[in-house]
Amino acid sequence: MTESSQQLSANSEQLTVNRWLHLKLTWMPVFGHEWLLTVICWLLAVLCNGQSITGAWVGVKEELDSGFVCSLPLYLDVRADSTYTLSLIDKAATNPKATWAMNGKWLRLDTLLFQPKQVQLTANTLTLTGHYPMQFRRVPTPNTALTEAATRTLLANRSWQLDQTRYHFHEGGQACLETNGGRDRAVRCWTVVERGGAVFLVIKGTETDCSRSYDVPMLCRTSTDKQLMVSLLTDETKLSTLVMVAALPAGKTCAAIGFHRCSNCFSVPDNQASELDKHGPPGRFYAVRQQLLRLVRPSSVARPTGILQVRCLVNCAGQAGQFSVNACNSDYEPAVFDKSLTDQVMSMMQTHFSAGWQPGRIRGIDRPLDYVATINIRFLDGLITDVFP
Amino acid sequence: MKKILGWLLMVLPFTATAQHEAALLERLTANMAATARYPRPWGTLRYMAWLDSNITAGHEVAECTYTKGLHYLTQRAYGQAVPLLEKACKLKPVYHGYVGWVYLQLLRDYPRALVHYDAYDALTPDLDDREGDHAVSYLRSEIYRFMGRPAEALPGYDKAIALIEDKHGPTWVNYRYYLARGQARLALGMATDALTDFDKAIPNSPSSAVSSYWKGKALQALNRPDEARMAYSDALLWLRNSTIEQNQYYEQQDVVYEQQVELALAGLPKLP
Repeated sequence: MTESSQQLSANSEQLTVNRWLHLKLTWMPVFGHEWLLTVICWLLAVLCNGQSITGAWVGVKEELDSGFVCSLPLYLDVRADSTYTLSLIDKAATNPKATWAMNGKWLRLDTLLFQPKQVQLTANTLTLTGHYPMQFRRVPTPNTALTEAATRTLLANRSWQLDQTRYHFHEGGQACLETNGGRDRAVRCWTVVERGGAVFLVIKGTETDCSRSYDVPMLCRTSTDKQLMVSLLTDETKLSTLVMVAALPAGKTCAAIGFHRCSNCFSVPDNQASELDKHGPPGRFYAVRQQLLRLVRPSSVARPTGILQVRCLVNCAGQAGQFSVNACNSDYEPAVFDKSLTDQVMSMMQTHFSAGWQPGRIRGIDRPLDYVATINIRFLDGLITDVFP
Repeated sequence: MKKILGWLLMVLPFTATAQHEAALLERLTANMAATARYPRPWGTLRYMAWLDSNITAGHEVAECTYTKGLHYLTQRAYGQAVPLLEKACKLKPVYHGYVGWVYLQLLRDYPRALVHYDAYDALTPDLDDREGDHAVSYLRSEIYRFMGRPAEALPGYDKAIALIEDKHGPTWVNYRYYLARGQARLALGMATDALTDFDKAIPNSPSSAVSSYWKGKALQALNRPDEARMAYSDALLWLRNSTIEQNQYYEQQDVVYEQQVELALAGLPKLP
């Protein structure tokens, strides 16, 4: 609407400037004396900005919505010869080498052009603002005492404690993260990777798929036989210590306990309700309805009218968890239904419908997704009149 | 050959994983491109804040209120959605049509749906207005049917069907119109008329499991069990091949599931 037209107009203005700068920056090296022009460009960048973008950068976070921040598992290697490479932090995928240029505060990465107000560069951080603001942190001077192989050997087949979480790093690449005194256990994947001379501990993935859901990598600082000092890139100044608590038998694996989302980047408001198939497998809603009609016995005293809404999270494996319930009256104002009724509904849902859901699917994304499923039960004078998604 | 096959089986899972990781890098690169191209941060909550700022500034208040209400509706946050949609209707009465549909299909709140359709229809008294794909006379009849008042539903169905049937013939009528009227007639004990409707519905949507199921019901009411069995079998066949009538982004109130059809089949006299 108006927002779009304003944005379009702003974009077209930007496009004109972009075209000029793009041509200027892209074709500059073609006219001979590439090395001289490159050096001038680099000097201009340093002089005008006070900082140089050249160096190794690790992605820290991207902000997908107001207050909704996800990890950014990228590694950006910006070289002085006007080339750069963007890859995943653990080298699992790499984009082709491309060129960059910085003129004043304008930054060009391949064909992407960032306006001066979009680029904030300090000695250790690079922030790109715009649609999805992104923050990178400069890879610090490497600690020569730590190597990728030595760190991997140190961590493998041992369990480690960091704050309230216990990590079991199995040699096959499986990581088990226990919280809540071992009552909750998530199965993930782990790897140690050396980037820009620094060593990072990367935890990512789910029990069945190691290629998604990267946590912010931990930068390994120093180690002893039973301790590994790490810093999370989200807080550069904070150092944490992984303390070795036990050795694990070689070849051991672990199984998940409790309900776990597949994605560590999930926001309920951004969950595209209308785009997902939330009805579960064929017959799912019929089964829910039948169970409700069979098991839910409204109290003879409290005869509610309104909607009782059960929400649960369905993960990519079709398991449901984190059930919650809320109610509204016939005017859609918050209401409190009889506790025995809500308990009956919750118990029924958790007993009969904690698995077997259809994983979320969105056109264009080939892997199943997590989503929030909703079941609405309409009551009229204590009787169920409708059950709907 | 065995070696090659073994090698392929070993490599394929890694290839699939590599594809996933390449897709992740592609998505992050696309996000970076969007960041370069659009200097303003975006996201659902930011969009909602932008709608709020427009409402506060008095700019396109009705549209922004309506859009905000629809957003809360997709989140199933009815407490927030309903007041906004009601307010939008007061500011711009043309929204009564869609809001009526929301109450009918998404919230199953039939009395409120009726109020909104009445208000919508009153905007142009001499016309059978349309909301989305359907005539308001049909939608209003649907409300009566779901409220358990089929006799009041029939005139609306007749009007909506006649409007198309008289001009273009029965093959141009939406099969759901015949299906709905047939169900209302069956509820009133008019099994022969109901069967006529189901027979007209099926050619217009031959793979509709619901139409076959209700045809079976009408035939059963007319004491024609063999034909009813055939109709139920057709319904099962269509249900096992496609669940499109169940899996729209909302569930139709008269949707049929396999268990219902099997129950109906079990209720027929056993074959000799």
